Amino acid sequence: MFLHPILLGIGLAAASIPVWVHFLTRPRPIRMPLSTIRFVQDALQQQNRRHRLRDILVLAARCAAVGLLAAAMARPLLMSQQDLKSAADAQIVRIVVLDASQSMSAIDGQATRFDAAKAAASKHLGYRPKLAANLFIASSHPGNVFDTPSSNIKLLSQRLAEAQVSAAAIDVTSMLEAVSRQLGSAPAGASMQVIIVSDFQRSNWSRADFAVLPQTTDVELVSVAGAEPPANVAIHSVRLSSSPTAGKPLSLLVDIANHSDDTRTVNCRLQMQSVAENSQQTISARSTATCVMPITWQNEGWRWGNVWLVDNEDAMPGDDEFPIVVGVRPDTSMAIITEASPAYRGGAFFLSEMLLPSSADATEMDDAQTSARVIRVSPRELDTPEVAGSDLWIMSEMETWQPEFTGRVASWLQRGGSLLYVARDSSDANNLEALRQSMGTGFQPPVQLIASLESNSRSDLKVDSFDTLNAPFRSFADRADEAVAHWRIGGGLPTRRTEAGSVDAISATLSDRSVLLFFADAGAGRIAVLNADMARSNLGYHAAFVPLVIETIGRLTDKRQSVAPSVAGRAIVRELPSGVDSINDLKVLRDSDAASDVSVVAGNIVARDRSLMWNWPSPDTPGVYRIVNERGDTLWAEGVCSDPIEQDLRSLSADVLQTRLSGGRDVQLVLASDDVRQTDHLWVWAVLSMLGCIVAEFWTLFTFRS
Amino acid sequence: MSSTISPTGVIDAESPSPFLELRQLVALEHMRFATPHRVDGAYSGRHRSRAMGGSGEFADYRAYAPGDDLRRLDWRVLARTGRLYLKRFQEDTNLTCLPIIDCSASMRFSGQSTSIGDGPLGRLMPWRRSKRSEVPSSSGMLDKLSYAQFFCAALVHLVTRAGDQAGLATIGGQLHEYLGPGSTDNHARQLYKMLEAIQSVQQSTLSRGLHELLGRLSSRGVMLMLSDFLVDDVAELTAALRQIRHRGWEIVFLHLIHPLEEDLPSGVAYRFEGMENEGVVSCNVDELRSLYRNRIKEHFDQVRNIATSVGADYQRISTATPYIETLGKFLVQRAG
Repeated sequence: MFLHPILLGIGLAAASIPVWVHFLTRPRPIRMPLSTIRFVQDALQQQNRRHRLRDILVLAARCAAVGLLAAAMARPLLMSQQDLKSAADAQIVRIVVLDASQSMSAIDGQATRFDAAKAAASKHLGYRPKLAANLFIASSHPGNVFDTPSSNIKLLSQRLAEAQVSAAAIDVTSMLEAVSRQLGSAPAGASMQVIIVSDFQRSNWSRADFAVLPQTTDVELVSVAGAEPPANVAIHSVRLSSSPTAGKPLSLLVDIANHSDDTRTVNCRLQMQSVAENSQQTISARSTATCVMPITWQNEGWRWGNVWLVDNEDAMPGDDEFPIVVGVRPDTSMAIITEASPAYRGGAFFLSEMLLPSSADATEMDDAQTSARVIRVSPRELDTPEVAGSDLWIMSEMETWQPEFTGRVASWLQRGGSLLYVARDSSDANNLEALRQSMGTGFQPPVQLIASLESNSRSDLKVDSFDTLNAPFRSFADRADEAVAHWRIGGGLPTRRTEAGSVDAISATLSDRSVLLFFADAGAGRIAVLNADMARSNLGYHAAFVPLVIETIGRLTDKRQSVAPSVAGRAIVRELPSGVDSINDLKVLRDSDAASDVSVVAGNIVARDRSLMWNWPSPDTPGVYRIVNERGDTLWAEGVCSDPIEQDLRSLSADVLQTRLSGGRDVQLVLASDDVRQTDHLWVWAVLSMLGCIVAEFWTLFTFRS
Repeated sequence: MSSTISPTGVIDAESPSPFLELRQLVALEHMRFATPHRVDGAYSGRHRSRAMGGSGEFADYRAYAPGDDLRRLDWRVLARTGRLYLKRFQEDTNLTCLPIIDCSASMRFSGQSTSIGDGPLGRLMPWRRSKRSEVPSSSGMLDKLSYAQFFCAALVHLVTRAGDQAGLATIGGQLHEYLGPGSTDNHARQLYKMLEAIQSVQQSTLSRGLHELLGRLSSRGVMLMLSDFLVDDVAELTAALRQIRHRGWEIVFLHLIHPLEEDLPSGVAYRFEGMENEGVVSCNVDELRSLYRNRIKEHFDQVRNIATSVGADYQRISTATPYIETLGKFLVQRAG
């Protein structure tokens, strides 16, 4: 196999030049009769053996030198086992998967991994008879060029040349399933080949399972990762120390991950419209540090900008910048909705006592210092503007909901409202089940409350386990066991695990294996369910009840205050605030395009259920996107960042890929860099051999000189 | 009577042969072809005979033996001493000189790279002269046969003029021509004509010609072998020469060598053609020169060894040396 076979042909033809030169430069002999020719013949016989050997050696060395020069210029390539097998097979169905995830933009050596991957993939997209191929430019979606393998190799090569790196992570599972579907349609008897060109990043490919591919598939993994992972320092996430409220100072927490083996010092710069901050942080090897930047917004409204690492020389510059979008609000508003009387010492009582400011406090604090606006209402007052404008509803001691009421709660959740529900008996189980049925797949709790009379017998239950990694128990830190040790829970309902819900959403469980507290997304909003009868529990009398509630409320309203942007490759579905008259008046601006005021293609905005929804199935370009009306007012702002999972550039080892993940398939791992070096070695060796031939020629002439 | 061209370009009208340059021989007129050995001659001459006679220069005494000629008794010694002694006198006789010319094709080597003849025969054997009238000038570089012809013509002239007898034989593949010894002018002219008529032949078998010659020799004398000795029958040649030597002939090897035989011509590529059907050889002479010198030296040594083994004198003659000069030195050397 040669990269330029035509040069080889020309070179081999040129190898005959020494022969021609020999004949053309041979002196014309002088004819002469000679009486002593017998002595000339004797001398020739004596000399011939010596000189014929010399002539043969010299001619061979010259021809070999020219031939080797031609071979070097033709760039010889070793034919791989795959190619040999392909050449022998009659029908080939080949799927070439090009990893286009963010980590492929890392500079590994002289070029990016993606450039090396494209070069390696192009070797497998050469024309062959009876070859049907397809190309997957895989990131968050499979990115297949054709629906079925095609013989249009030219178009595949063109698409390969046009391929770009995405900011998203690769969805290995969906990609392998899509490849499997295409191989499933291959004709019987065809040889099925899957060539995956990737860096086989550990964080992505550890979930790969090649068992989904047909049993007879030959899988070749072409790795473009170097022997050692390149150093990378990136902004992992950006958080706020508290709710972004106008006039209240808070801190912007920038988590910076150092994915290198050296301690790094980085300069972090914040630029959010008129706010600019700088900070320096030293990060140990293979660790994360948080850079704290104090910030205060005086006015409410949307704020956007970027945080980036200045002069950070690492392998992947794309993750050194992080978009920030903050919705600054005047304060947090909550509504405690209950049917219980104010004197009943149930959930509403304890929550009201804790959240409602006392009259003395109210007189001491002015309006600007009020951290939250809390009202207590009955379910019949749900339509009042104060309740509708609240950020959080807290429901306790509720009777069974009417369908209309359920619909209103579901609609409120769909628009992004949050709900803390205190469940104490079977009516609460019925209400939550009705809400689940009303919202469909939009609300999938991890457990289902079982409506039964058993709740009356539940008492003195202890906290069995709790999630210390997330709010609210995260705030207790290492004193969590001590804090919950004396809690005795009574009432509530037994629970049953559901298949759709995530187990990670369960925050605490009780000694009877029922769930005490869980969280779940509901439409654009969020629900937390506290499964306890506060009147029969001692929870409300414990000091830990206050941070428990505050942290729970904070987790529920976190979406309003978090600056965490959407991750590239994951769908964005947002319900726009009410008050927008026409879709035609809206446009989406990207932060860098704000000055030009030109709308960009970023999903679409559709009207649904008397509200407007912004739907962007696959955001791919990081940045800040704003939806503005015709007056230029920002209705919604959203940040899109590259997937943090792509920041760690370590790759899976060969044995993991070939054994643990292979699923019994024939998986071969080759290094693209080795292939290139091998090719280089061949032409370098050819040049060296040519020089050796020239030296051998001179040595022969010197040794056999007359 | 024909004419010849002298080295000065003047035609010698009195010369009986184109190979006889009388003006060149003026300096050698006083010299005689001699031999340090005693000879057997048929007639009286200037050379010491093997036999003791009754006249001539007194040599010594010998005791009388019955049957001796009483006319040679020294009567005075008998009278004084009463003993019988015979007086012995050295007889003088004439010398027989027999040049034998090797007329094989190799003797025509002249070192010329272009063909001489224009016809088909000339193209096939360019070294072969097609016309008898094409007598080369002795002033230029002669081929070995021409050199031998000039040399023999001059020698015959000197021998016959001194009253000695001269003959001539030409040998190629066999004995081609032979003319017995004679000393008359008429005999000399026949020898000159015979020299003019020599043509080279492809074969070179000296031993066979010598055997044939041996059967036709009747007297004794000095045999001059003018040849390049490029022969294959070395053993047979040695045997034939031993027989001639046994007959009492004195043999002298005149080994003719062309300068380009001693050392190959300068240049790079040559296509050598054998002159006796030995094929064609293309080679680079610069690469062969050293090996060739060794090989030709071996040949010279071999010829010298043959001469030594048969009791013959050996003289190597280069055709680069004018034949007159060579002849003069030869005569001086012979005169002792």
